[in-house]
Amino acid sequence: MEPNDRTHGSPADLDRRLRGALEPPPEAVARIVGAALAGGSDAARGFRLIPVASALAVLMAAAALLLMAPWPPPGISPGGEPLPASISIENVGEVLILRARDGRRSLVHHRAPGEEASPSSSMIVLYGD
Amino acid sequence: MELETAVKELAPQLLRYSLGRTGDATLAEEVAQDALTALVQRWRRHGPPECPAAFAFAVARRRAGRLNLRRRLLEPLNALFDGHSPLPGPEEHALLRTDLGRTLAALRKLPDRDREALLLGVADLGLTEGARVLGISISALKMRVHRARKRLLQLLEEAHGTK
Repeated sequence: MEPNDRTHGSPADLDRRLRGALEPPPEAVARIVGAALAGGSDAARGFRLIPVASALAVLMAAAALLLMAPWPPPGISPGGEPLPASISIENVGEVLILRARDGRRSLVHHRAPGEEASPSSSMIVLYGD
Repeated sequence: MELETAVKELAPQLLRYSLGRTGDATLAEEVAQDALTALVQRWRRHGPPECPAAFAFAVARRRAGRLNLRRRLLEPLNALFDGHSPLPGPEEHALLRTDLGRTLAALRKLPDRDREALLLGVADLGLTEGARVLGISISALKMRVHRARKRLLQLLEEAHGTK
């Protein structure tokens, strides 16, 4: 039977038993005293700060990218209004009309494979301005 | 009081308290080490705190609380991925047969607040400092310690089969 295998009626007995059970080994005490006085935790603290430093670096890189990006982005005027399109595309039946800002127009007709070209039977109508 | 003297006096007390809080010698050493290091840094940078013991125990209390919480949160994941059974293994059974194992098992069954109060007393922290660490009045601390002792006695007697 262990010496502690008995009933512990008084608080003093109980505290004694707890102290005895939780008593640290002297080498553990010496280890933590030495490490604390040597200030060895500065390195440990540094290691703990690595994730924070990484997150800060990523945030700063993102901020730098945002600052270097052209502003306003293409297609947006400095006032925030969308710029007029440089070309507009309009579909009339099977014909596409591409209208440039300078007034030039191009007509595009898609011919299905096997369909014979029949210029004589086609009529191109330009309308609008 | 000199820094070195304070550290040497507090080290075993912090280890005792931390072992009671965490139930694990390695974690206890980690907690006590952090608390002492915080005290040393504070002392060297800004001079000694008003009550070095209360300062170090407050740090240890926070650190042990965080470690316990993390362990509780990760326990299901560890069991899932490492294939650990939640039931005690041979090592745990052997530990339970020792006095430390039985005491730790009984301590674990106490409510957190009562266990903490009891452990601060066992770590030889005075009532004033203990109340300060826990942020409660001295009479409230005495009440918690009394309740914890009573319950722990019951648990230990049940564990020994004397009841």
